Amino acid sequence: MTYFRNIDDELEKALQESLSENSWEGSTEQMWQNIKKHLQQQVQPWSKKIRTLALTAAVVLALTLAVWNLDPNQELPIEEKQTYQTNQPTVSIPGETRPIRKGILLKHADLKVALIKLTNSEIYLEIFIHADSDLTIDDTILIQVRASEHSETTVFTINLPEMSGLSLSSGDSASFKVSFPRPSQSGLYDAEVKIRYMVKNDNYEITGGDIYFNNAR
Amino acid sequence: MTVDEKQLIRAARQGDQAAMELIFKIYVDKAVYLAFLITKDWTTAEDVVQDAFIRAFRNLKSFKEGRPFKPWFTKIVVNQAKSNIKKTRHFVTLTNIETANISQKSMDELAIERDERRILLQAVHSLKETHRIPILLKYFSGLTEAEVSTVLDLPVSTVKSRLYEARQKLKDILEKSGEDC
Repeated sequence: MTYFRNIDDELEKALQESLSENSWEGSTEQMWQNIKKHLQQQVQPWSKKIRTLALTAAVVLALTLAVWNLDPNQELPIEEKQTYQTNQPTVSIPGETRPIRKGILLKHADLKVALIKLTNSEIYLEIFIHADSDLTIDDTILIQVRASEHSETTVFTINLPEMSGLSLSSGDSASFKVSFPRPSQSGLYDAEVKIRYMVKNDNYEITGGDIYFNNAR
Repeated sequence: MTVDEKQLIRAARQGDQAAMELIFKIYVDKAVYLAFLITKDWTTAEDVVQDAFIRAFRNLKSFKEGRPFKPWFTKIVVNQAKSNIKKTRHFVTLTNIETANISQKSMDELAIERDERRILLQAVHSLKETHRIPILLKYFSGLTEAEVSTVLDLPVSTVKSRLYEARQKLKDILEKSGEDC
């Protein structure tokens, strides 16, 4: 045999030409349908996983509620509807040497309270509210003052007619000043401010402040 | 890779089934025949290629865009074929292939079957897997030696030496066959 001297060329030619002899009688269409079916099945395990995760989460939630003896359909108390962070960065006021904590409402508004002045008879606060939703402020401000060294708790209810019905659009801010009587007893006190407001005919309450002051007499 | 093929692969990566179907149609025939040349069985070759396409489409995200698709896909086909051979141990001997082919041929075709091309192909079939697959990838699939080395996970020098050895073996077989004639 002399024709295989250039085996590279002959091999290439022979193997390339052999393709025309491809006697595969299978159906490409059938094979494609099989492949398509497999590729579509590929999606299912993920959807199954998601369903399983959702089911597991529901079971865990139900068990948690059962342990806490809560009815899943029960409305949470108004205070718990609000999501606010405590232990926020503190601000010290020179002279007063008492930190002011900022309460931040994540849901509808951001409430900040600053201690402005402490006189012999009054405590003055400035309250800042920044609306994250369209809301209407009630006229009643509640200031709850707790003594940390004894169990005395005093709640001051302050009406601010100028704030009544004040509507804030999302992104708007408002500030106002309030004062309340200084406690008669010496000691450390914590003042917490609550403001009521309405969003779409629903009543809410935002809590902020947590101002600590030394009532030295 | 042509620009069109790049676009096709990009679309297929995003889950476009029409693009996947086009890629399938471009490569299926040659892939089945390559799988047949490796496994020596049409049914196994079909299974191999079907699985190879499923694997390729599922792993298309790991395919580096801009690189040639053919060697990447060929590697999947070859690995799948080798794995099927190991699994089934279903070898069809050279004699079986000859007999199967002869039974379907006319007398005229039987005469043609004596030609050089047929003898060469039969010689390729008779090579061991380590020599046959590099030969098929280079001369049938048209891959470069570098691409063959990527497909087989072998150094280029090994691919070159295997190709050389394979060609030498083919020459020996063909010379012997010539003497017999």
